Amino acid sequence: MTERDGFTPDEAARISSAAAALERTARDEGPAPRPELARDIMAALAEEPMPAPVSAMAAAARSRRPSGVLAAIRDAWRVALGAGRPVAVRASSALVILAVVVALGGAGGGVVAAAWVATHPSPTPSPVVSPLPSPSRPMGSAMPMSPRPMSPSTSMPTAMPMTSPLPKRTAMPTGMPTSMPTAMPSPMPTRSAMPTAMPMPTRTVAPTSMSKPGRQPGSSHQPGG
Amino acid sequence: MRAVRAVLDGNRDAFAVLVERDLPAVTRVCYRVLGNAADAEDAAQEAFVAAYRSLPDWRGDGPFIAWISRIAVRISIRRAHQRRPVDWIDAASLDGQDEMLDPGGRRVARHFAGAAADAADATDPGRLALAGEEAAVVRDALRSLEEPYRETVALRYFAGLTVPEIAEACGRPQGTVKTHLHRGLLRLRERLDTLEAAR
Repeated sequence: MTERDGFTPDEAARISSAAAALERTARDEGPAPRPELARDIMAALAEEPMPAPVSAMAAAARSRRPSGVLAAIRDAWRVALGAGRPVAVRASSALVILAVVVALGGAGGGVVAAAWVATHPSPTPSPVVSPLPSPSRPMGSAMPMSPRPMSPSTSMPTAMPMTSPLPKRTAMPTGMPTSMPTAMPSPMPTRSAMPTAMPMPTRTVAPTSMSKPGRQPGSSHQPGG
Repeated sequence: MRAVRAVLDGNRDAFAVLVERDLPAVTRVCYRVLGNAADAEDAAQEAFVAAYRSLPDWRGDGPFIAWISRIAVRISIRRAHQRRPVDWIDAASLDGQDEMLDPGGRRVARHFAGAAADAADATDPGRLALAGEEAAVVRDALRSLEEPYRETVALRYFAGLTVPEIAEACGRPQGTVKTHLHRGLLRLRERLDTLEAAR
């Protein structure tokens, strides 16, 4: 520790003096810990959840210990919601909880769906026995006509013929007005311009200005005559 | 490392191996920072619980004792700051409740006198009293250092770690640890001079 280390001899001496004081202080090791201290520490740790629930659960699953898996899930819950643990540990525990919830939710949904199907036998046959085709059967000739156009699109013979033509007819009017307003006004002014350009009435006045014939036959002959 | 792996795999009892092996050293580190046996045991217990909780975060690239020593130093320094500071008592106001006589006959606060009382069976009470007084001054000076000098100096001299072990435990380069150590010692000397002049 010389000037090569960046310290002057005085600083090096002060560093050595401080180090000596620390070494004298560290010479006092204090009394040995109580024999019960290790047991107290393990008793305190017994109330703590496992530090790594993910790896603990994996190890329990490998060794096929259901109780270990359940304990790891419980520890993951406590670690994820508890305080004083690193964020990474809490995040991994939260992921474990999330995976368990998703798995339980999926399994529960499957069970509920299976139970529903078992208790409510086949709601799908009802469209096959639907009464709606029956009014068309008395029609006789209409019966084979209506299902055939709809059979390629859907397998529902009763409801679809009533609904499918309607969108086709509604689609036509909706498309028409969009083009009609733009097309209709344009020809109208051109035709209206025609009458305004026609000064036909003014030319028809011309015969009225020709009142000379009025003068010709009547008055001119009377005063003159 | 095998015990740590076993604990992470769900074997809680494997941690008892680490406790049995490292408890004396951890308690010693806490005592050197705190200067009181009861406080040192409490701090050591807290250090083991904190290490147990943070075990998945341990990188395992150094000895376990270096890692838990760093935890113990931090907990001890925090406890030392939370503790009531040592006050020399006026001789006229002795009531015997919170004070006691140290081996040198001086009235001191009880928690400071505890360190001296632990060594009361020594043959030279006067020398022990001087050593205890100097140790108290050194502890106060160390606690007043800023980080990272305080942690580096404590790990080197109170936990007995080498520079490479400190570098691994703290995740710093060895050159940085040496710089922190030398600058920390220089600042410690300044604090020691100030405290000794004040007393």
